Amino acid sequence: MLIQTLVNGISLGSAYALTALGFAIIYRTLGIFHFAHGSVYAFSAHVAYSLITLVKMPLIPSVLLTMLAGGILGMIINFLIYEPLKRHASSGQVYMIASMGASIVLQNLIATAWGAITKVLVLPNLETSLYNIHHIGSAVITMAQLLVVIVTVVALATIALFSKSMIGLSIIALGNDSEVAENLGMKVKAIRYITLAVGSALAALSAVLVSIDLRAVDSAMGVPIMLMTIIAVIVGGTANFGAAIAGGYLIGLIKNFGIWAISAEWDNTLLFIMLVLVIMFKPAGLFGRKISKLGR
Amino acid sequence: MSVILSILIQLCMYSILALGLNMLVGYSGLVSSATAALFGIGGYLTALFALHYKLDFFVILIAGGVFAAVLGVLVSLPALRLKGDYFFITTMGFTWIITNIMTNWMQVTRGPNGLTGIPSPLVFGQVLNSRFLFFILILIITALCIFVANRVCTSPFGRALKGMREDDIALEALGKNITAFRVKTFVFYAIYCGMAGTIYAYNMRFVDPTAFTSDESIFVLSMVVLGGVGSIKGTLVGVLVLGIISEGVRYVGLPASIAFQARQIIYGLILVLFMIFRPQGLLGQYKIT
Repeated sequence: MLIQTLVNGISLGSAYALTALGFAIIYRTLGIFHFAHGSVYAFSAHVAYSLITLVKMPLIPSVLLTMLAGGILGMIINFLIYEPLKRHASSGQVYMIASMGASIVLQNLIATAWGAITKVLVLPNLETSLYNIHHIGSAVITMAQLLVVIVTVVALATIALFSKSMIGLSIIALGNDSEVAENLGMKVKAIRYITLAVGSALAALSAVLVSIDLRAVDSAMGVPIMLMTIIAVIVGGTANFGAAIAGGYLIGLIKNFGIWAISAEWDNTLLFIMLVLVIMFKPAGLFGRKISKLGR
Repeated sequence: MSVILSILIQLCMYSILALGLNMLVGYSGLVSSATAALFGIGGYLTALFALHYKLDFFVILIAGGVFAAVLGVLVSLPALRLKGDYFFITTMGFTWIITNIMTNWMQVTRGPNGLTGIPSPLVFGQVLNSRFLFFILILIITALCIFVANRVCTSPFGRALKGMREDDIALEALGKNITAFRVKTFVFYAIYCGMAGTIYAYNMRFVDPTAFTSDESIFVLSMVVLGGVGSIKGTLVGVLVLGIISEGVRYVGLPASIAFQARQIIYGLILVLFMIFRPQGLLGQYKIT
């Protein structure tokens, strides 16, 4: 059971690590508490469902197209909401409320477009091989779960490389000090768009992987993942991106150990108690070094 | 007639909820999403007290408010010291736990089935069967709540709150304890939410976990944002406008599933558009910080 819990925890944690990294990139760079991240996730899952099950497109182009769709939605949100708010010099909580409003609008648009019921994701060709069960000692793992872990590792490695590129460094610089970045002649507006695109594409990738693993999508799926993501980011820490990734894995593991040790009904309560404890005793996060700016 | 009375009682209930949230958002500058949880605590407590102990309406009303305040403060105290985002998330998590308890603590809450058969309220030993008299009672309570909120805002305490919202560091330099002020506004907010829960339970005669989800918190937040944060008049206008929209959508003739989504989209759009174009709301002067 221990190994099984570990396997499930790492698989789930990978999905959280991706959304948490996406959220943390946006939060650290733009200071926006990007609630709509969860709805971007739900939208991407529905795009993936349409491409894979309805259009019967092969897996790899489906995943890439979904990431593109998620990234574009992120940029649309920036264009329609965050840029106008920026022009009005809005405060942090104004961004947060607007983002929450956007998230509600999106979630209900998804429900209107695709229907509010749970839809089953069917892979046309790979069906059997992906859901085959493999044994690791006493534990079992499906290829789909393994796929989640492997793709996540590849994606995280890509982001690590990307962070050393000119654009990646610009994103980090903008997060460190936006005024200095602007004075140095960086195209801050373009960087803001790229930040939202990258962050949202990560959420989209997580959404495809989870949908393939669970074989189901529904319009409300963004809400729980959003809460988990935020808990992961706060518990991990917002000062650097590695902390958010670690937070994602930690939450995935704790959730599964909670289900194993207590019961599936109370795992959320357990996570919330942990969140409160971290906010009380280590508000910078378990893996963060300095306190992030609050109430921006 | 009974439908109209029910809607009017609902509007009174939302006025109390929105006044409470307005106090918190407008004066301490903290945005909370625990409205539904505190509201639900009041509702469930009322249902349990009315079903098992046959207590007087006013005793339950006060107990609902106090209990919501005690639980709310216990959980949000660590977050009250922080500003903004973290507070919002903690209150959201609090809502989550409360929903968790409502759905899973079968022995007491009967889980997803909810608590049914709440009897008519007992007012000073008399059973109040008339819907109309119940409405009048709620109307009086709402008027009292508006009066109290108004008095608090214009008192020296209210002026200190305004100062806290404009510049908390300056107020702290004057020797005022910011955290204590935040706790006090939170208690005020929680009591109002708890009392609204009592009204809900007696009005519906039924409570279940689906009535107290974060959708409800967001609905009340849109009322406050629409009317104007920090303005009592604005808050009441917000309740009226959104209440009419919410009931109106029901009678336009859309199918039930679409009507629900259309309503949610309207609330979401109100939040987004007001934040962009008029963050102070229709009647408010103060912008959320």
